[in-house]
Amino acid sequence: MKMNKYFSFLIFSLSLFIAFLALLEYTSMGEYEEDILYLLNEHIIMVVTSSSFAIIFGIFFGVLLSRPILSKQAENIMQLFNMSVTIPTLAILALSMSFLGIGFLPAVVGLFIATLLPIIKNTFVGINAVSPSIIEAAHGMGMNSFQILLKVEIPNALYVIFAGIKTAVAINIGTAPLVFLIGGGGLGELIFSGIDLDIMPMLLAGAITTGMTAIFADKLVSVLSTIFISRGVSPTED
Amino acid sequence: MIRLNNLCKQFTTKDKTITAADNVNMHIKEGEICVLLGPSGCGKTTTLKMINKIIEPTSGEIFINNENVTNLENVKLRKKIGYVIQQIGLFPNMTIKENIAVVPKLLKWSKSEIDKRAIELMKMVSLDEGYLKMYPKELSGGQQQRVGVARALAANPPVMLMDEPFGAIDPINREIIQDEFLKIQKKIKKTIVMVSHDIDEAIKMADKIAIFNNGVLQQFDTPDNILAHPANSFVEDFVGKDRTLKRLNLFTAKDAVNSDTDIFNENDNIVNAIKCMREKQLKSVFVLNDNKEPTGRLMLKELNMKENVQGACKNYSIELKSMILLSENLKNISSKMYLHTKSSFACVDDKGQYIGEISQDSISRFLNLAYAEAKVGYEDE
Repeated sequence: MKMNKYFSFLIFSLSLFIAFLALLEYTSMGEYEEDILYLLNEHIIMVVTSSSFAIIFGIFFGVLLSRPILSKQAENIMQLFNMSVTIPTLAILALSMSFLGIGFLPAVVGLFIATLLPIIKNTFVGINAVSPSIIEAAHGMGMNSFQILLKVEIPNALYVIFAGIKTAVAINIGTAPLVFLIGGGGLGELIFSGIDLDIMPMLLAGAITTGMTAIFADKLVSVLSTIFISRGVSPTED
Repeated sequence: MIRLNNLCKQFTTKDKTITAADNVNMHIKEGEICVLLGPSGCGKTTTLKMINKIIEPTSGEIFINNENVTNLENVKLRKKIGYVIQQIGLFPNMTIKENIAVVPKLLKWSKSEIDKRAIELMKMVSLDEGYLKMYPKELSGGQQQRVGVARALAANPPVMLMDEPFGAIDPINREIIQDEFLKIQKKIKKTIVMVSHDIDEAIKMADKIAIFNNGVLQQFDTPDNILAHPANSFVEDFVGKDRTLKRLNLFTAKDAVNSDTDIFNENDNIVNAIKCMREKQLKSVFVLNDNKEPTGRLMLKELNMKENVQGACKNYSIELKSMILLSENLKNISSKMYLHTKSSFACVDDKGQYIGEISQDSISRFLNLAYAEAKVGYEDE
């Protein structure tokens, strides 16, 4: 079963890549080949950096909030987070710019913040949802709190955590074209310039490439989740 | 083996203090199954969980193997104690084998040792080795509970704590798993403390029963003593009005059989037999063949009505509809008595040879005898 999943992912990525090359070769997108590749590189670096940090910190804070010491405050803090999710990502980028100026750093920080919340939330909820009887059994077997977190709580919450990561990456990639507005570069440059200059091929070059990146990222997260999530935990796999 | 000295647990809420366990004193001997019994909220689970300090005692001491473990590090203590809970609590993210291997891994066993032990344990709880590669969700509730027991036994702890281990299993499977568990226990002879709210389960499983109410230990004794001599009105109500019938479950035909009876060979002369029965005022006697297998019985009433009785006993004996095996429990025998409207049966061993007669009379006489003996034992304690 697992081999099939990897294989289909490989086929999928390959066909996406070939489609991309074909678009560059046979359509007017080709005119912007150099720009596309340069900006795509920038775009990917931005997305990967901001989401990796978001995943690391998101899980860290989510775990921290789920600890018994914080159990009283955790709900209030989560309420605060839930409210802040309603802030539009563009506003977050604007705020980031007002503190950090323009360029790569405020772009990554803005994306990081926009991405962080769903991961914290799902990590917290996922760990809290692990059945108390399992934790009691683990305690009864003489595992210490750290071992229980690492071997029982996180692995069993992983399905929910990965759902959060998936949402977060989707938000990240959806927001990434906007960072052009605060001087962060990336494929947004082609889209916004295309709109401003009313050049359809330029706009499409940016939009199509962004879209393909998003689809690829989504598939990648899915495949990673099947690697990390134990078959015994995932509700979809049998 | 396990000794609890004045064990107390108090929970303090904003406005009051609740005593969940009040000065519990118990001594559980090695190899015994002790069932903690009582209505919900009586302190039985609290007492169990204080032994491995899932619940920290407020005061009192716990000794395991004469070692005071009250101040031993939790993690160290728990590795020495197998723990089974009602919800089973298998880790869904791990395979059955990984579940079993948790404690051995914590104790740093080698991989080959763990593999060997896993296979051994699966055999012990009569599950196929193939299950080792599966995940808990792929097993039925009964199978999961067996794995739960195997996991608790993994590192061969001398003591097992079980919190309503069979509570979540349907009645038919529960019976099977209880029987299997008793069979395993006969081999491994662990010291087991088990929580239950089911008096029948307790009678079946326990060497000793501890009955709790409101955090206070009401009576701690053998099942028979508890049924024969409830220490107070609470225990009496708790074990039920049918407590004497419940006692029938505790004994087998072997205990109540009367082997001092008159019998005749099927070739004996009927005239002698009748004479003997009249002399001793016997209403009925069993007739055996040469292999000492009971083939029928002579009823004096019927013989009295017949005229010109002569020849071998077998010509007059009435065929037996049912016989009792020595290992049958008294409750089933009583049930058979009502079923066949007979007040006595021939009792045979597993080769089918006659051992004696079991009757309503011999059963009630035995119960009364055990009753008196129980009383003596009770006063000794």
